[in-house]
Amino acid sequence: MKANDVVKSAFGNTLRSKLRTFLTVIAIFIGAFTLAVTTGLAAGINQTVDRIFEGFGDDESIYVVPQMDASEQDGPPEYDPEAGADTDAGFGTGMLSASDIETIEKIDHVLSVETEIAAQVEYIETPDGGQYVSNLDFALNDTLAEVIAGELPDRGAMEMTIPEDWMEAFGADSPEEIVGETVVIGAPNAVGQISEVEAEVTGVTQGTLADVGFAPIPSVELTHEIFEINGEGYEGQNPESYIMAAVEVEDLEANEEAVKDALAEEGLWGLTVEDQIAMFQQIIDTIAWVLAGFALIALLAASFGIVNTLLMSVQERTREIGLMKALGMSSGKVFGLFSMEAVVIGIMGSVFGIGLGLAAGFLADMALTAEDGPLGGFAELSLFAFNPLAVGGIFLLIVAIAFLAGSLPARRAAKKDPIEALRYE
Amino acid sequence: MSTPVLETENLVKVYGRGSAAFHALKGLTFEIHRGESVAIVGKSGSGKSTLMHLLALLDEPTSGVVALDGKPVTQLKPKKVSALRNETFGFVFQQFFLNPNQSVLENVTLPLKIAGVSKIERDKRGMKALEQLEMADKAKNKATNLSGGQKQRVCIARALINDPEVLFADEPTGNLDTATSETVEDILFGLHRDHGITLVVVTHDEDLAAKCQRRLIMQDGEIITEEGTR
Repeated sequence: MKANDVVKSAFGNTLRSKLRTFLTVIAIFIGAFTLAVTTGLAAGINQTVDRIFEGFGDDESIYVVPQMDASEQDGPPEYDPEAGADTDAGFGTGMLSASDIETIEKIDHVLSVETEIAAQVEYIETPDGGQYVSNLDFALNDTLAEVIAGELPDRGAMEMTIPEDWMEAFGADSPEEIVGETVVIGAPNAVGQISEVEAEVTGVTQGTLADVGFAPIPSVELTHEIFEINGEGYEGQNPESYIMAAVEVEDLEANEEAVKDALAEEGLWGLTVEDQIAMFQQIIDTIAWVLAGFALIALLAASFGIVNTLLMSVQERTREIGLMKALGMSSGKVFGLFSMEAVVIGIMGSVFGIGLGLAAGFLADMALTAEDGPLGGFAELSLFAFNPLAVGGIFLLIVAIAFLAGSLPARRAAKKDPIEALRYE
Repeated sequence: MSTPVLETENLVKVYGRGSAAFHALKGLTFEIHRGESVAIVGKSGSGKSTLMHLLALLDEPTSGVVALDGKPVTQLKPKKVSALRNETFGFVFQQFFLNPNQSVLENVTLPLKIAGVSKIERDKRGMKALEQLEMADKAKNKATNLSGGQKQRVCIARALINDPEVLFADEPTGNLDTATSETVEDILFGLHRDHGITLVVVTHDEDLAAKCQRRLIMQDGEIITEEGTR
């Protein structure tokens, strides 16, 4: 029997008992569909992340926060007067003290250190006099921001960006109109009096998945200025504490590890933008793998469906198998014919499953991230993407599973004795 | 004398073991020559079907030898035996064994499909075989929609399609009424007479057996008498 005849016969045989084949294919379909959706989801979000962050590949900074010490997680840490004052403003990992900053500055290859301070703002006043309540984003988050008009603030100047949805407050029709405006920031001092500083709006941001750009992003200089105001009238020593420090490193590529190691020795934790992206993508990948795990369980169940279907088929076609063997079909070819039927079922299930999974993924993505969709506010967000490698992998995996599932019934068919089979009623 | 197309030597077939052993064939030695028509006759349980299965290489003897064209086949690999069956033999069964889901033509060309012949060639030879049996107009019909006689003619067409050296017919008229039986018998013996095909008929129908040149009468696993001449 020729290979193309085997394939044709197998295909024809699967269509003989259409309902049974259909039900078996459904089970495969569900697994394939789920796998296509989860891998597409992971690919989509990872692509989004890549796209958003690809502009920051030349960012020569390492971002430093205090290291979390696992051994100190039991119970509260001991008080250390040298450590920065712990406030809720940090990343939940404590604060950097002034001495930490000094230490960082002394590490080899460190060119400069910029610090993130928690600055308190009472209101932000637009040029037409409207006053609005707002928190400020972290100044050092600027590298993660998606700017849709203008540019990021110069860290050393009194500048800031404004989120896109503030356009109305400025009475502007397009983001470009806001760029260049001057806002007045009201900041409270220690005894509750408000002082004002002026800042120039250099850009308009759109919120990203990293949760950056939903609030105005001040420059580093601006936060320090506001922090000064916050501390006025305080009669004690204002403990200097920083949420985070941005360390500019000379030749980051070559010295990244050395600086990170030096930081770790000081109990500090250094992350590049790439590290942060990698962490984010790792979380997405983990979620995708968990979902894919469920899909694999579905496929496992489906493979038993194939075994069952083909066992029934082999039983029903005992005489046909006997005839084929009597007429000179070798056992190997009989095995090939029946395992090919399993493969055909696998192909049908995976083609429909993957096809509809991709279609559903792209349609859902379009609906969710459309301008007025529920997730339309995120910049450049796409939840779904076509990953040819993953799709090809899923297809091959399912076909392989189907073949394995079919090998048991196919073996049974191949081992049939033609005389017994022809006598079978 | 030419080499016999089929010959056996001390052919023994035992089913089961020990005290439960059943000796279906008790050492048969005979020859079937090219162009002969031979009937294997006997009651059920006489071992005639077992003998046919061994001759047709569908089963292996417990001991003894089956030789095809003077070459023993007992030692051959299963794959080779399958190929020999496909090339050398044609089968006509009492129960027809037609695939009800396939067309008459597809049923007829099954041996060629197994042999790996291309579809165009298969269909050409299939139509020729059907024409020979005056069934060409039914080529596209489903095999289920045929009468008994038509079914058996399709089976004969299938048996002839690979130009076999030997045609095995296992109770070919067992499921047919008298008139149809006669037609089918005429076809079989016509093929034997006009095309020189070697015919091995297994039957308990004495009228059918009588039309063969030679009759091997079996009882309890032995050939008790041999009638007719070559």
